[in-house]
Amino acid sequence: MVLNYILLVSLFLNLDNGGQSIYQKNLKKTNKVLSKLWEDQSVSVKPIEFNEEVIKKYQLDTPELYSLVSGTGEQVAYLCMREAQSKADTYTYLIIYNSTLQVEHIEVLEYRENYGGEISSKRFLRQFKGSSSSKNLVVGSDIDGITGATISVKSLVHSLNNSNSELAKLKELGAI
Amino acid sequence: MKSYLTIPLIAALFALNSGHVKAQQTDSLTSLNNTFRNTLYTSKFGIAQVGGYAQIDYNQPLSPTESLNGKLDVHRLVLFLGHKFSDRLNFITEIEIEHVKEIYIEQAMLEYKLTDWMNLRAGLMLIPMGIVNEYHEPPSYNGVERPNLDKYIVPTTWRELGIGLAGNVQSASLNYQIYALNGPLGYDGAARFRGSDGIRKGRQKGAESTFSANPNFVAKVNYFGLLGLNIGVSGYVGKSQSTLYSGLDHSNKELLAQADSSVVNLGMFGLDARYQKRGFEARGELIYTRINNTDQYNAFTGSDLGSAMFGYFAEVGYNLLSLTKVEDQRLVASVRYEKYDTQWKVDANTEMNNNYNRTDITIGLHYRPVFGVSFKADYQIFDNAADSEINNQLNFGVGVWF
Repeated sequence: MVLNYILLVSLFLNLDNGGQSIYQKNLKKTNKVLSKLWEDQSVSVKPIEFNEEVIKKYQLDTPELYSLVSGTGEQVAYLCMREAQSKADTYTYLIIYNSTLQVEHIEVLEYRENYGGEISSKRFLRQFKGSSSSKNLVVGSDIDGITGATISVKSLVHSLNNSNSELAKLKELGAI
Repeated sequence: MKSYLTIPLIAALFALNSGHVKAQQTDSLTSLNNTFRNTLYTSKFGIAQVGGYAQIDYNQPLSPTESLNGKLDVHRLVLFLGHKFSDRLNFITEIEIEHVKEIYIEQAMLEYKLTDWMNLRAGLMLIPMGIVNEYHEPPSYNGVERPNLDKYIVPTTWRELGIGLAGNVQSASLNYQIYALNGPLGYDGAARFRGSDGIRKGRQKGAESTFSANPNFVAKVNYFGLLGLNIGVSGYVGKSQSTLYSGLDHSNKELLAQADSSVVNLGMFGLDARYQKRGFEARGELIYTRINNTDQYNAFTGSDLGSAMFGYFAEVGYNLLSLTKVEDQRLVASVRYEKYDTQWKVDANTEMNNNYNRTDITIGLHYRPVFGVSFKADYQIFDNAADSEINNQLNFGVGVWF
C-alpha cells in the first residue's frame, strides 16, 4: 500500500521532468559533485540495467539510479537522483550509496525557493551518512532538524527513507 | 473506482493497527498531502499551488476581583495560492481573512530567479525583521498568540510594496533578503504612530498606500552553518510617509516645515536566533528601534510616540514526547519571557508612560499530533512598570498549516 503512494508520487515527478531525466537536467552540477568526491580518479556514470523480469514480476518502481564506475571498470558506488517537495516548490538532490547501499553523501543540487533552503547545509546533510534501509530515520531523534525549514527537513527525511527502502527492495529481489 | 475504495480501507487498517504501522501512516499521508499541495492543476501556463494556515483562539482574561468575558475568535485564516509559470518565474500570494470579516493580502509577489543564489522579487512582501514576521504559521511557534514583541515593536504581519533581491548562498550557509519598499504612513490628517504600539497603526499593507518620500530599505542575513542553529541579523532604515506632501507648493516654506514635522526617521535593528537539538528547542529575538524627529512629530500631531523602542524575548521548550517512544508527534512544554518598551526613550517634551514598559511571561503546552496541526494551551502573566497590578490570561488555540 505504501508502495502505491510512492508510485503515485514518482509518477507525478516523472511528469514534471518534461521527459528529461533529473541527471540530464543537472548534468553540470552532478558532475561537479562527483569530481569533488573522487578528486582526480575518474568515475563514469552508467545507467543501471534493471532486471526487467524481476521489475515486472514484483511491479517494482524504478528510481533514477546510476552506477558509478571507476576507470578499471569496477563499480564503486550508486548515484540516485531525486526531487522532493519544499514549502511551495520542489528541490533536486542526489544521494551517493556505497555498494552495500549505505548513504555515503547527500547534496542538494537545486533549491528553488528561499524558504527552507537551510537543508542544503553540509552540517545538516552530514547526519545522513551511513544511513540505510535498516533504520527508518526520524526527525528529532535520528536527525536534528532546522527551525524555519521544518517542511523541507521532513520531506528530505521522508524522501531519503523511501529511497533507502526502495533500493534495498530492488537489491533483495535481484533487480539490481 | 478501486482507488476510491483503497483510501478508506487503508485508513481503517491503520486505525486498527496503531502499533508498528504508525510510521507508515504518517509517511503515506505526507506523500498524499505533498502531491495535493504541489499541484492544484497543471495548465499550459504552469502549475498552480495551494496551501494555507489558520489560527483559532480562545482568550480568557482572569481577575481575582471582577468577572471578565473571554473571546472566541477565528483569528486568522490564510489561503496560500501560488502559480509556477516556469522554473524561473513564480507568483506567490497569501490571502488573509482576519476575525472572519476583514480581508487582507498578506503577500503578493512575483519572484524571478536570476541565478541559483539570487531571485528578484517585486510586489507585496513581508519585511524581514526578527523571526515571527516571516515565520508566523501557528505550528511554527509556541504559545497560542504570537509574541507581543512581534506585535508592538515589530508590527507583525508587517508587509509593504517594493522590490528587492533574495536568495540562498549554499556554499556560505547564508540566506539573504534586501528590499527597497514603501514606509509606514505616519500621518494622514492625524497621527498614526503613538506611544502604546509604535508604528503598528501606520502599516499600509499594500492598500492604496501613500508614498511620499524616498523608499525605505531593509536587509536580513541568516546564517545556518552550525547544526541546529539559525542566526539572523536585520536592519531597516527610512522615513515614514505623510499625506501632507501631496499638492505641496515647494515655495511655501511654512507648509513644507509642517509636512516635515509629520514625518519621522526610522532605524530598526534586529537580532534573532533559533536552536534545536533533539527534544530541546530555544529561540530569542532582540529588536531596537530608533525614531528621530519625534519632538516635532509629537508637537505637531499631539501624539506620544517614543524616540526609541526596545524589546526582546527568550524562549525555551522541551518536547516531552522525546522521552518516550512516540517518534512522530510532539508535545512541547515551553516558557517565554518577553520584555518590551515602546517608549524606551522619549524626547524632552513627551512624558514617559510606564504602562508601555511591559513584561510578559507565557507558560504553555503545544501538542502536534502531525506536523502542521497544533493544539495549544498557555497561561500568560502580563506586568508593566507603571503599577504593581498583574494581569493574567488563559489561552487555548487550534492551529493548522498545510
